[in-house]
Amino acid sequence: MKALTLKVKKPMSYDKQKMLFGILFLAPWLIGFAGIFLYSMIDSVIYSLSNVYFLGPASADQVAAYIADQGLVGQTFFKMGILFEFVGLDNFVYAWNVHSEYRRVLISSMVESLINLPVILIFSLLIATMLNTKFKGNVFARAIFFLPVILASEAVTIALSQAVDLQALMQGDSLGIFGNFQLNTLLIESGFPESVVEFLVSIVNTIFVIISLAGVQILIFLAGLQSIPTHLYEAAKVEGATPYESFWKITIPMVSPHVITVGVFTIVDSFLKSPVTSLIIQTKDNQQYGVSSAMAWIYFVAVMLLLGIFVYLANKGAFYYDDER
Amino acid sequence: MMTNVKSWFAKLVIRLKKGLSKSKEKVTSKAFKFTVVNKTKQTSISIIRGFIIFGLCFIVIYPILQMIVASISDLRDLNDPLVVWIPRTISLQTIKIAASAIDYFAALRNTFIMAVGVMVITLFTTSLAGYAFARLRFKGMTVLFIFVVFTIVVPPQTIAMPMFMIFNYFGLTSTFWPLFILAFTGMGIKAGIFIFIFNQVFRNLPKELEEAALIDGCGIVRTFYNVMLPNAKSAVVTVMLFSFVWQWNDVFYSQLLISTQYLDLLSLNIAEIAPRLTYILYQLGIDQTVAEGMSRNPLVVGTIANTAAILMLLPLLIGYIFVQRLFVESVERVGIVG
Repeated sequence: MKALTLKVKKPMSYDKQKMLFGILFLAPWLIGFAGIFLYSMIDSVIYSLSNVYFLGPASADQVAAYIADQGLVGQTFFKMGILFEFVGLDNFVYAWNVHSEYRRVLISSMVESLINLPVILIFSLLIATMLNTKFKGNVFARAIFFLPVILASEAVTIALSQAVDLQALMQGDSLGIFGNFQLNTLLIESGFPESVVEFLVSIVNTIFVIISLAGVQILIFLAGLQSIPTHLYEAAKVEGATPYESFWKITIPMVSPHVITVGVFTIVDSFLKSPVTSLIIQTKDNQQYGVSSAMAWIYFVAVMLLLGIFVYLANKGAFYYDDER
Repeated sequence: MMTNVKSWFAKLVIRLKKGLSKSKEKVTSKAFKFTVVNKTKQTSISIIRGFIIFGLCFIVIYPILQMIVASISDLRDLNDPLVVWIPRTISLQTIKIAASAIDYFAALRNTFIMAVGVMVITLFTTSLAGYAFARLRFKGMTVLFIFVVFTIVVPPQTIAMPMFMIFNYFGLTSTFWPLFILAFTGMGIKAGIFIFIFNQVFRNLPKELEEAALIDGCGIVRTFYNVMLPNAKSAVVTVMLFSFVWQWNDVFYSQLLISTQYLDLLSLNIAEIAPRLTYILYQLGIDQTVAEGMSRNPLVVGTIANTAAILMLLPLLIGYIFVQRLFVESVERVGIVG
């Protein structure tokens, strides 16, 4: 009788097991997402809508005394040693209209990334196509093109920008290639119009910036190029297509899905390098916590707009080889 | 006379025509011409390509070389217009000053511990999450994955301050723990991208691999650890290297979550090098007025900042020489597709 009543423990079904482990595997990320990311997002909204005062651990009476002392009129709210005074959209208005720099910096940085985006896309695609052909030392060349990704450090940029006038160093723009060669003056003195020379120099100088921003993008495109089945090119060749034609008719459509990845990566990568970031941090260090959060949110909306427009356009133009997606 | 010349010319033309057609058959001559044209075209293309690639490589390497040269040359040489590439006197003075200005060895050790720790923890969390997203799907997974993408595209400064408040509230801001916790919860530097990469790679592995492991009696954990992870080597390498390098170079998160008074980190010390310089020079036994003058001279500050940057990047540079092949190949093989 006893044996019958014994519960036979059935092994869990595979699907159930999968779900259990799925949740288990995701657990750290889920905790982080809910506990840090979402929490901070919501908190950040609260920050941006209020004046923030740090009181540290304080009793309710102390808080009330502080409110009376400071003459806070708005609705107040005390949490984790921080006193919030609800002020509505004042911080946004302040950041946008009153702050002396914010709007200018934001707009110029947005315009800059709008200009840089296609340049980086085209540049990295061209370099990737070039590196994808077989030639001596292409592994070496790839390694060098990827070097800026390793060495691009904001710390270095900050340190060097503190050395007020780096131009003096090495008698020229430290990043500019023409610094030492004096090609600049050479070209001007040999009769080239000054504007042309300046244009050339500025292009060369931006090339460095573009290269240093395009390392990962080149590799993504390279991976994309290598995944194109060679039979497409062979078929095109048999039909009499020139390499030029097959570049436009095969290569471009086949890498078009990667354009989205590269573009999104470029935009995401520019977040921390943007001058807006340093402005936000600066504002935070000036104890204007609410304004700093409002700035961050305005930046967020601007970036989202940029991303949305880009993804929409890129998705429209993208070609998917297999229709599964 | 005139007719003579004419006939001679005509004969010459005929002879030439004959000679040409005699020396080579028409078809082969055409093929010959074709290959010649093709070959010159190809060589010229490869020469142009070589030029472009060499030039671009030069652009990348040039500033690095310049920084290295500036760091080993004597401070006096910098003002000398005759010195361009080869310093007149090689001195380690600049390196010494820069090293003590950023407290090099203590900071190096701390940065190394931090970067390795973050790398390992990030690898753990993101690979698990990526695998779950790729193969252990349950209802609502798609929504969660959209959230992952969301964490990628939200600028970190939007959530920076409340994040700081959380860690500050628990009194963790003088330790490595904020960074480790962020890494463990998959919220560290660009961790969303790592999850994305792992998801991509695991999804592209053949399903038969898992089924075989299951039939052989592997549980899900063992399948993941012994079968799937070794097959996703390229993703593992990519994620490890990126998280290491990004953490090493990062200023934003370190500055936000760790106070320098307690912990020396290379990136933080370098970012603050200019304000600290007078004090450091004074400490090195240089007369105070001279030290003040020096730290106000942009040339000196620039050189020392440069040298400090070289010191900071040197370990990465040396490491990169050894792993670059692996690195580049892995990133290529991962093939992050949208």
